[in-house]
Amino acid sequence: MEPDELQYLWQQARPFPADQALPPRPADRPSLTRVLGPLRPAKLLGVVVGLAWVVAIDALLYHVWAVASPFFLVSAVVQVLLTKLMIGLYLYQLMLVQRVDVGHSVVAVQRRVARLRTSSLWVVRLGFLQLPAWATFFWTERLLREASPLQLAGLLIPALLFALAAGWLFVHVRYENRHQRWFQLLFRGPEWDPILRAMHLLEQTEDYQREVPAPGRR
Amino acid sequence: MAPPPDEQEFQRWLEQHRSILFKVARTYCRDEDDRQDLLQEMLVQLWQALPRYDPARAAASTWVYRVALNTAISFHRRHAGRRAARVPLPPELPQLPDAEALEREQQLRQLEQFIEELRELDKALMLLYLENKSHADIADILGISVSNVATKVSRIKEQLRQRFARQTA
Repeated sequence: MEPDELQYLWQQARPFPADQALPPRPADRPSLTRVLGPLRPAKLLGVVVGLAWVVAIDALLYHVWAVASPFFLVSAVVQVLLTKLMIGLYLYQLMLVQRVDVGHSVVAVQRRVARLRTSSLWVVRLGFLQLPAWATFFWTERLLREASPLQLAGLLIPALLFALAAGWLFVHVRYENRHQRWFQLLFRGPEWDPILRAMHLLEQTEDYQREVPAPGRR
Repeated sequence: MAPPPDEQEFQRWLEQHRSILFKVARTYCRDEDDRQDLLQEMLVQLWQALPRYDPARAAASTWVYRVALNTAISFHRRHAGRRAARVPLPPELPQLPDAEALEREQQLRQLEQFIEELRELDKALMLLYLENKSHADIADILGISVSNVATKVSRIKEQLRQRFARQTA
């Protein structure tokens, strides 16, 4: 069957249901609910737990500031600042996605939404930057002074490896590397599906924006 | 911030353009419950976007197609996991009076299956092609050049031809 015949068949056999009513329009939601509404429960829980975490660490820092080890203070400050940045960035991206004008052309809108979604990778990259803080927060001056060379190596090598891994991942976790094997291994699982789907959509928009001569014009 | 549209004006709009909403919803959702959810979401998006609509920049039907397609593509992407978790039911053909009608129905189901397998943007292009929209209209709705539309349409027609040739072989 030829495409034009299918086109005719489609129009004849799948007419618009004249007697079918549209469902009622849901009431407008307040803007914060609109931003958080599309979040899945797991992600919403992640944001809530993240906020509770930064409040708890801020409170802890406030109370131990005068007495805590400088290593703990620096590690905790770095960790909590990056967490705040991650939560803020994530919510800001969600808000921008909600504000995209859906009345603009389809490829432009989908490209913008997909770009915003894939920019969630920034949140992941910031998360990786926290790695060294987890290897240094328990250090104290006394621990470093009294440690044997072997113990010292046991402290410094993981911190160094974490710092190298954090730097490497921060630089390399980006859309352009999506086809690399390490990237696909790292971002496997249902929690990464929205980002991967956004990447597929971004590829589609790139394909649609690419000018390709029609078969007869080559 | 623009004021919300007048409810009566909105209802008048819907009456004029609701066929577009049904067509887009049917293209992106085969499940009735999902389709109702998508239609509701389209209504919300239309209601929120209507104050920003500028008739000087796009014809009303073009604008409604854009809003409906953008909403459907986002909905489709968001619910991909939910769809994958479902076990598809075997297709049930209704009792049809004659062999010709049965064959027509089978071809339509094949066409719907073909559309189901397309990527999100290709689905939009396919719908606009099946609705016999001009290349200029498709270019306006999708936001690509007319020559690019011609290329994509000929590519998708070729896919259709191959698919139906395979089915009949």
